[in-house]
Amino acid sequence: MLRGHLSGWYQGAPLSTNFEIAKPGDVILLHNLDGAYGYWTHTILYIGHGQVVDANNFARGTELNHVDNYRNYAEVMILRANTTQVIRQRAARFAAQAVGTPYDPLGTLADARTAYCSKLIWRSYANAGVKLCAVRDWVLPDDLANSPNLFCVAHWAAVQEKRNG
Amino acid sequence: MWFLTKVWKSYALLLATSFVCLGHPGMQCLLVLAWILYIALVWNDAHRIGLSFSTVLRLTVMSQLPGIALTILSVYSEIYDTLGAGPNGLMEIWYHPFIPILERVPPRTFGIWSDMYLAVCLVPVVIVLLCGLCFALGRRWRQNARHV
Repeated sequence: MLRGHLSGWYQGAPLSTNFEIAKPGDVILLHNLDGAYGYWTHTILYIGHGQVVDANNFARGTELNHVDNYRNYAEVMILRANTTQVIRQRAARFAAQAVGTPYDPLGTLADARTAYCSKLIWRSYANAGVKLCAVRDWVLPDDLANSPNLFCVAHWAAVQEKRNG
Repeated sequence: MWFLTKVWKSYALLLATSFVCLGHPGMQCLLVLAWILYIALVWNDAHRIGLSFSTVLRLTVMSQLPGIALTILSVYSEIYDTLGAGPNGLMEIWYHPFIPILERVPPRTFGIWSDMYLAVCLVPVVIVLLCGLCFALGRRWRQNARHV
């Protein structure tokens, strides 16, 4: 964090992930080196047709991106909610409707006016009736990784992580 | 110099207390209102000791230099996709006391820009304009009071 790598930093070639197996409502966890707030440094929600909802940028707010833009990570894991497809799609729809929501990593779960990556996913599933983890002021990507209501569908990691400077 | 010192010291206190009150947006809004009232008193002092309008305006712009610099860096970083997320993060931390108020702006985007981000970019400009307006109104009010 002191070196300015709050969200970790990427080194190496893009991972050869296969995002085609993702289904609407899947949670994609992303890891890079030197993240300041946990092992998983970012998370996005897959909403179908190659699109993900990402709340990670103060200037742009919550936005839609193509999932292929998320290969430049040292590790990627796809998690699926242990619930029905209807509920997962409901969560995906909620996230899609949240596009444009301002980004504020300091806003608590109770603050519905702003979003950050893991809070957006937590709120999307909470709206669909699924509590991914305990209610507290802030939810981190690591909390989603440890959620009893999510199971791993796929996992890719770089063979060897190197660390410079 | 006393003007700048008072503004910066009070803003540092506002930042610290606002972080202590994270999760309590009502308290954070009250803190911002208390800071604005304090700044109004500082402007009043400036007028009382005879500082000119242009001097107070210049000092107010100088008091906003950290925020203006962060705003320029952040916008530059976004447009040219350089400098990483650092300027955005610092700018958000610097203006965080205002976020509980600015997040009430309807959640839309203008082009690629989030409207709350644009509102935050305008904070230093609004503060300078408000400063000038309050100082001018205060001076007019005192002049009128003298004539009565």
